[in-house]
Amino acid sequence: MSERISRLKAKLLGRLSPKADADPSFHLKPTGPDSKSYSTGNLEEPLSPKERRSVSASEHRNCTPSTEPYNSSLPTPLSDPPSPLETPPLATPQHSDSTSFQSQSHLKAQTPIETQLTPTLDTVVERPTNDRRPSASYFPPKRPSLAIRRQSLLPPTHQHLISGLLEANLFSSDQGSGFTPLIPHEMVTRRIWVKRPGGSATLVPCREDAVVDELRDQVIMKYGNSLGRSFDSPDIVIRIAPRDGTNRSAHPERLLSPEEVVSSILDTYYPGGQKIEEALVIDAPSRRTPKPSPRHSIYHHHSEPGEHGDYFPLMPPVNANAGTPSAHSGAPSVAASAPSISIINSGVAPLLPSPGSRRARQRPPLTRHKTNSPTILHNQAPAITETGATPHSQPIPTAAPAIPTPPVAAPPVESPQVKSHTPPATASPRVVRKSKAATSPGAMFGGLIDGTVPPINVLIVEDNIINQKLLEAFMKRLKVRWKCAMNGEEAVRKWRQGGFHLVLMDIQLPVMNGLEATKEIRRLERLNGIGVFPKTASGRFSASNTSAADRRPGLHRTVSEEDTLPDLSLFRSPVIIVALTASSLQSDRHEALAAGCNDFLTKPVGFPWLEQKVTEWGCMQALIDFEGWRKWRGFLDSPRPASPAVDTTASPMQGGYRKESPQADPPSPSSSRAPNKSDHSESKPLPPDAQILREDSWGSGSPDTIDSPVSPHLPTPDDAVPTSDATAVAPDEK
Amino acid sequence: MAPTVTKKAEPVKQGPPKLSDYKEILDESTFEQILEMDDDEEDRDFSKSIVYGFFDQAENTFKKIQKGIDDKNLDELSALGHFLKGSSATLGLIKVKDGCEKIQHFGANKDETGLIDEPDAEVCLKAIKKTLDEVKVEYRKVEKLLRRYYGEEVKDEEEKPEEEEVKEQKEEKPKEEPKKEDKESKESTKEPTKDASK
Repeated sequence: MSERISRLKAKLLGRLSPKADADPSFHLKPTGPDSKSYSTGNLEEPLSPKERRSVSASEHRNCTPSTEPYNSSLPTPLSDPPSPLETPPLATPQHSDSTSFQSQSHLKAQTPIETQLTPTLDTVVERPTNDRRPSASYFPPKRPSLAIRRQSLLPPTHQHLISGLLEANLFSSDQGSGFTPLIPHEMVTRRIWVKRPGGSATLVPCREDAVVDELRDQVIMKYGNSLGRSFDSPDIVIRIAPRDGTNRSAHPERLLSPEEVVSSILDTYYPGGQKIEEALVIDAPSRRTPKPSPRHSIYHHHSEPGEHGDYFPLMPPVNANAGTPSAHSGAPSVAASAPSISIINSGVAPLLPSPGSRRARQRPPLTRHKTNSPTILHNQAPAITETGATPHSQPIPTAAPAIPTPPVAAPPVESPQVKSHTPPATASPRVVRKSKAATSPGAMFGGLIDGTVPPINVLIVEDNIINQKLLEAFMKRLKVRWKCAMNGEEAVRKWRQGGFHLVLMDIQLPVMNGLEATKEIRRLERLNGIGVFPKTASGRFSASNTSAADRRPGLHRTVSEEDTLPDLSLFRSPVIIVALTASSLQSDRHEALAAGCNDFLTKPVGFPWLEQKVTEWGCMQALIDFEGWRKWRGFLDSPRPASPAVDTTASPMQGGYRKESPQADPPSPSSSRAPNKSDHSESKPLPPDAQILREDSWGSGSPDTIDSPVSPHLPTPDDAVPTSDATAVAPDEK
Repeated sequence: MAPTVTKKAEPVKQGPPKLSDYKEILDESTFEQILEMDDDEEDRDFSKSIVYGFFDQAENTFKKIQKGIDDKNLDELSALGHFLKGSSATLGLIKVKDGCEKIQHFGANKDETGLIDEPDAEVCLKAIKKTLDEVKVEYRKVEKLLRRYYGEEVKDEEEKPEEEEVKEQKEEKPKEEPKKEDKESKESTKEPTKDASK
């Protein structure tokens, strides 16, 4: 144990503030004696760090109310309890054992971090809690001078808060009532027992007036590993259960709504203080639904980055791939369905993947890479390059008629107000919705860690056939799709077809050089209003939709015909242009950047560098075009081979991303919506709409896309619009 | 065909000159990067196509440069120098690349470093002419090396035998090789192994 502690400590020391770095002993010396003194009263006896650690550890085990470790939300070097960042959420034994503690966990007037960094404050702050402990011997605090407190994280202007605390502390015998008034409200910290279902409880600090939403932030910090990596704090749900023997009807078990004030709830439910066994239960969204949810499968998909399928299926390949056996057809669908099936069978949602399990999940993709990538690219990509002009004619790989989208459709949710919910039912819709969004990015990064290159489309602009061939080979190896252009003019022409995420642009080119081509592309992007944040992205802000609608018509007026890009949906974000410069001259680079390039590589291009750039920028693009990315993910859920209805002539991009075009004319979201919908359903094969929709609406803040499941149609901004409208209204209803 | 090919290809892998012995003309790591792209280490389809493609390109470019010199078209010469520089750099043909870079600079009315202006077009042309000859020499060297590397028997000038021919030649190699240049000594040590393997 001590070994683990010291490891933890080392890590912590390494990551704490520079100050801490400068003086590693800083943490140990001041806090050590303190913590010891609390329980033993033997302040004088110096202990080696090891001894101290064992002392404090044993204290915990004995339920001695040493509050030291608990007071801080961030672990002090001494404390064994899990650091949110490093250890899994399950509480260490000390936590679950120290049951006597919760009553003291009331008021804490300091920020957690302080505890670690400023021992002087520690002394001060610990006092209140300490006082409460019957066994603790009271040590008149040596008031640290302000000079000593220079390490405090509090700005000087807040020093008075400390003083207030100290005064209260020193002069009130009844600390509970005595000093509370003196302490500015924001400073009062209450600690609250929380736990994961099945896990042991842990304490999180919370301001006295904090609402549930803030509590969730703390929880996410605490469970940095198991929750923090996959969820944002708004995604999690906190459940409260009534105390045994109390009136259940008055205080039913229920989910806490974000706007409720934590302390008042606790006071209501647990008069006299929350006990450890009364810990609030933290539920992560994905586990909430008893039924197999499409989301669920998505979730799992997300954790397998690089999964088959085409993101931005610009090029025809994937379906053609059907020939390539294992990779695309069989395996994926199985993988996709597995999670939900297991849920059905067991009736229990699988545990939230811990970091560990997640990693395991991601492994398959790697293997897959090796096997299918070369084949796929080999066969198809070259062909594509030739036929370059037909990106639009690609079949939507995913467009397959929906996957099991069943029950999800009718998400119970009526309103975002979770309050009214009876306990176990479903998570607040809102929570659920967001979970999607929150989840996927994590997975994405997971993929990055695994060395997976995002499935982007690359345009290689290189006049030298030799270099071009090599770059193509690199692209094959990276498993990204590409096209080639021999000169700047061709590059612009191909770019205008849309769908590219990354351009590798040789600078010195015949006809139109790379800089000119870059400038031209940037000019067109500007004229067509292609920005990082697509106006119609997810309907997150309903305002954005209207503005988009306004804008487009105007745009048509002002932009000359020849400059108008055919289908803006193919240009989700400005393309990333990486200049390939033959010389390493700084001036050339500056010139390239000035022309609008985002980055540069020096020729000859080495594979490692290229891989790095493609990965970096590809992930960036995937993030920017997050919606498209997720859609691409969602598509995966439909077994590709099983999609006979796929309209091979439809561009996947059009299908998946046709957002702007409908919006150009619609005067109001509502009016435009229905027509569009029908339009879509006619012309497009339907993807697993419900899932996608869900995902689409993640940003809108509206839970109830009730209609979405019912009326299958491709997610379009239109969907998002009503959604967001609904959201906007919801708060008012309250 | 497949099995026999495999057998024959093996000696080829051992037989070719060691690239590391030619660091001055061939950047090993750069070239190996291309070799890594080969799906099949036996026939090395990809890298071979790249390398042989480069041979064609180089020959063509030399002709064009010669023509540029005749036409006194400095701009064209600079572009051609840049062009060949790109691909030779990609293959790691250091000397060829350096020469091409000089041609590029001269063509741009600069000195060979590209830093100092050289307004006299005649001087530039002359320099290009000279550099072209140097580049060709370097190119021949590395071409020979690479052709051998791909199991081709190289006499004086380049020839592009089909794969089949390559194999046949291989069998004759033992007899012919002693006549070849410097590295023959190395190769001959490997010959016995080759025979033994058959």
